[in-house]
Amino acid sequence: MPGHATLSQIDDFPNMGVSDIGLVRQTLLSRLYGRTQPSTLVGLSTQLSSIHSLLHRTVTNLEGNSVLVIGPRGSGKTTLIQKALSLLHHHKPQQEHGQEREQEQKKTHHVVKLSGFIHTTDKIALRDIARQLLITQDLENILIGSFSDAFTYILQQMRTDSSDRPTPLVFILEEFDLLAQHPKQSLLYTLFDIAQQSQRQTPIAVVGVTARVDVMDLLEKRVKSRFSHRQVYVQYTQSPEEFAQIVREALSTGDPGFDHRVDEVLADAPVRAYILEAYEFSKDPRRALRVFASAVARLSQLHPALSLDEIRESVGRERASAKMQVLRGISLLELYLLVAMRGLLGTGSGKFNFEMVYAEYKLFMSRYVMGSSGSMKVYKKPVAMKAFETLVELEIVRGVGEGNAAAGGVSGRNDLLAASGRAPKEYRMVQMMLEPGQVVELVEAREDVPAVVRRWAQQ
Amino acid sequence: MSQSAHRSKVASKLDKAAKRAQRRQHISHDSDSDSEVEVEWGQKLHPTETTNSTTGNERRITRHSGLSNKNEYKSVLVNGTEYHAGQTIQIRSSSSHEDQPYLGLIFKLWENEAGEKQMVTRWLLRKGEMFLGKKKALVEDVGDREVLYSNSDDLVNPDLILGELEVCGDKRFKTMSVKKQTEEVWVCRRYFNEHTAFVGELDWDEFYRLGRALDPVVEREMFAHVEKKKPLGKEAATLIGRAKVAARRARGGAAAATTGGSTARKGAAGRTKKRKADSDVDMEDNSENSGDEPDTEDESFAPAEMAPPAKDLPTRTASRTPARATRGKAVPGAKRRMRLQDLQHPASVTATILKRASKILTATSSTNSSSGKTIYETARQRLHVSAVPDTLPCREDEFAEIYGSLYNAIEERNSMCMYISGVPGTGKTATVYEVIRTLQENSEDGELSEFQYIELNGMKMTEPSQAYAQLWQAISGGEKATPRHAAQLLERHFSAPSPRRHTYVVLMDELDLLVTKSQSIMYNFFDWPHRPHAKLIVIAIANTMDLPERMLSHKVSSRLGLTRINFQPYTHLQLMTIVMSRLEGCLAFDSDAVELCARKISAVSGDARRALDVCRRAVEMVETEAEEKAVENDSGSSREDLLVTMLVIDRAVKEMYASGQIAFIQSAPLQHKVFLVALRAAIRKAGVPEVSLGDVAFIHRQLCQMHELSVPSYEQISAVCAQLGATRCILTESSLLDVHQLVRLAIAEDDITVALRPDALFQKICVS
Repeated sequence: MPGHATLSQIDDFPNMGVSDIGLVRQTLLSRLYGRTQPSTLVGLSTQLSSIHSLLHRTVTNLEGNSVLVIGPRGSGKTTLIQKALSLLHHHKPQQEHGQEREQEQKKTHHVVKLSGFIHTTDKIALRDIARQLLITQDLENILIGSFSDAFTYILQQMRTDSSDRPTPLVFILEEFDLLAQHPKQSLLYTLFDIAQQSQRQTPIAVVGVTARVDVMDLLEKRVKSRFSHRQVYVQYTQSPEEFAQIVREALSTGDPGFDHRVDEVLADAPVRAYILEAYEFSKDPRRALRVFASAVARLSQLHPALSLDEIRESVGRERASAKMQVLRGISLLELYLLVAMRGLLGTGSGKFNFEMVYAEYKLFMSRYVMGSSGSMKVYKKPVAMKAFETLVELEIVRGVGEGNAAAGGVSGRNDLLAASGRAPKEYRMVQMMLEPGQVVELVEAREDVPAVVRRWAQQ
Repeated sequence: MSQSAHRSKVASKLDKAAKRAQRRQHISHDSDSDSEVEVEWGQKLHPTETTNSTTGNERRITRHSGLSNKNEYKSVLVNGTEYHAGQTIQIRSSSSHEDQPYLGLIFKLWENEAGEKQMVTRWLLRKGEMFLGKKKALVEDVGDREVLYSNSDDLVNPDLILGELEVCGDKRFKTMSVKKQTEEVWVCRRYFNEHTAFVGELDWDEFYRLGRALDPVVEREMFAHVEKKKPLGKEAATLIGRAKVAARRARGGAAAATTGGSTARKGAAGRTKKRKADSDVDMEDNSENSGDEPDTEDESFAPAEMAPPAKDLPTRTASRTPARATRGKAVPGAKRRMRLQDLQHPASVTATILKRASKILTATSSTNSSSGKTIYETARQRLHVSAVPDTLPCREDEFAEIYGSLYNAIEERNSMCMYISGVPGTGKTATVYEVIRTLQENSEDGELSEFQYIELNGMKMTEPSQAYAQLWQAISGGEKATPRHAAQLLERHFSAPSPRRHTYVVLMDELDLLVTKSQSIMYNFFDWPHRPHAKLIVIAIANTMDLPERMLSHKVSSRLGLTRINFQPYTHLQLMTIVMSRLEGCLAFDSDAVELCARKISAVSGDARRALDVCRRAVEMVETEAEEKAVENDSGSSREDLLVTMLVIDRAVKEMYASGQIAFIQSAPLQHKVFLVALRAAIRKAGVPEVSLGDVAFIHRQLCQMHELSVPSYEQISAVCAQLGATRCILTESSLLDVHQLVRLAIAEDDITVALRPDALFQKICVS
């Protein structure tokens, strides 16, 4: 990984000059986008030691092990494992001495990484295992058989490489819960079965990583019995200070000048407030780091320091509500229709069609507006329909079709716009994707709204 | 054929065996239905001639079919050609990939009650047709045109006879022309005892001319070994199994005896002889058999003398003394049990035990030599699920039962089905492995006939029908076929006679995954053993006890038969024994700690894997503790060994079974907690378990306003909802439904209360 190399370089040369700003930018960006993990871990030392000792035993004592790392997104699971693996590399040379062994030591173990997002079937997973272990021959032939056979074959291939001592394998299974949804769970069964079987075969360590707390219930009983039930829970940090430190670590490069600037930026009130907010809402450092991305991307020879304005601006962007942004520019008629819909919300099931909305609108107009002043005009039905369709297009209003009722079965297209509908579009039932409070907010925010309408919205 | 078919039509309604035979006929005709074969009886054999010749072979045949002596014939006419009993013939081969006909000798001809013509053929084995297992070297030099007269016989339909076969003795064969030697005539120089893999010289010309093959006296002489043994009843078989367990147990004891000196061993041997006298009284069943064994005893005892002399064995270290004490205790019981063993095969078994004992001792000495390991390391290693123990404690009865049945079936060359059930981690597969291992050793020692072991695992197949392909591959020796084709081949293989018939032991693990809609796979696997020609033993393993009743239709469960063994979950005493037996001689554990662990696990699942995992985890915990202590002390010279105590076990169990949900909620971000509280409130208010996100958001914002927290926007709340949904603390609908999506709690309401109670802020929120 290129990111890794550059990272260690920075660690090695803390006093780098401004000329290396390109390198800094690259390193930080890859960290901010999650391509590489930060080099330091904050507050996960017990978890680290338990995982590391487990992997260490597999590599040195050749015993099979399995463990699940469970923790919410952004709590540092992957970083933790990365760290444990890198420690495994570091430990090696100290363990056995002798320079000539150094070459062999490099291959004390192999790491295979699988992810439930990528390896959606056992076959894809198998192919990738073979690729990561650099096994190419006969691959197409063995892929025809079952996972277990093919996997045993791969392990045999591994054995022939080093006949005297089997090379342990470390399997990192990201998004473990998705892998558990493969039919029959034969991938997990095979892996756990080998992990709990004797040392005759290649010893393997299986590390599952997942965000789901109920992951154990996903395992089939046979798979469950073969799993060692070792679980490592990774939790979010418990103090805002620690969270701020994680953010700081992710931005630090080891260069005193640059790090000083990072401290300055983090001390800025809006930024601090934003980080605190991120802490309250998700505790996910990646969320807090998002606002720094554009500033880091603009680092150059001419501007070697992070720009505070840039960061403040992106904080503002992060905070803004997308829906409100979209609705800021809608026409008055469209706004009236929304207010009319809000009125309808109180009466029924929250579902209505255009005719109902238009009737509500007309009722209001006839009651409050017509008599008092002639400044407001009642729009004709086709005009209102056009405005209504605009709202549909913005997906502020969505059709309630059969498809929408089912959880996942929402078609990309809005029902109302779809050509194949049974009822005429005026009578198709829709839902408003706004809370009543949001409509009020919207009306408040506009200055060109007559006082009458304001009152109407408040009702 | 037409005649017999006509007659069988009437009888088949009554006779099940006849039905099966009919099906067999159909099958054999499917392959070549073009030619109708005419079969007529020739001369009838006088009934009195055979009544007194009750050889072992006949008895075996009797089991296959309802043979009655009165309808025996001397010859049979096939398409007008007459074949006599005792004549050598060619028989059409059943499988498509063997173009050469089978060679055999007509042993017996008769008509059964259903009026079908039956024939027993004795096979003449060609090169490659002998199943020898590890004794291949004995008959490696079989020539291309050489056949071996064997004692393996089979029920063959007379219409499969292709024609005469010319077989001659060695002397006459040498005088023949090369053309004759290579194309027409077969030579027979030797005979082959299938059960013992014994090969002996035979003067074929004289043997054949005088019709000795049909002479029961010659038969008994030639294949004496088999005739001596009498098939055992089920009871007796189970007893043998028990004895085997005892013997395995006694290995430790025997080892101790060996350390004592060779005199002890000799004494034991002497005792064995003496014991036999009174043991005969114990089991009348076998008393007659054991009488004529002594001459073999000295011979097979020889290997035991080769065992390493006692003085070479390392003396045990002080730490192992208690272990020896416990082992020593086991001896008397084991010895008592071994008497049963003595009955059956006294010398060979004792020899095996002593051989093993020496093996084990050398093994332990090698482990002792690498004493650089700490007690924790040894304990950890032994507690690993993968460490295969010498014996499986607490499964003796099951072992005995399975072993006994299998031993019996293999010995009798019979077929059977067996169903084993039990929850995961109760040692089902391990016990079967152990049985198979023992049986394989037995057959290596020549005590038992050879058999081929095939393992199928439902979990390791891409689809159920793959089972056919894998079985066929194992049987045919690596041939690949599509499942469909393999099923046909297997069907033909098991329903037609063939000299290449070995005993197969098929283990079907994770049977429930092989259940298909039509259940044809299970049907076939359980039906094949019932075919007269199959020597197939099927052991099926699954988790549920009532799988045959629940998931299988009656026709399948009926074929499965009644041999069912259920593995109960381990009780706490058994779990304790298991852990203790592994920890023998290792002082890392407090005995109370093991008991606590056993009790905790037996209360939940009785899964032995779990118990071992908990103990292993506990050892790790203590190990880290000890290391930390060592670092603190800094002396490093004498590290104090900490014991695994009840407290540690308790911690380990908690760690493994902790749901983590409470800790998860506690570490969740503030707004997540508020959301959970709001969701709970919304659910209570609505009175239904599912509420829309809009309602929750409304309450959420209210709560924040009331308690002076920063009020989140609707977008932020739906982001919080999505994050919680990803961890499955709550269940959500598609986020496209936005505020209208329904949300439901996936964790217990009480968990929220418990988790948030320590928090002062949330105490206030929860109250309101």
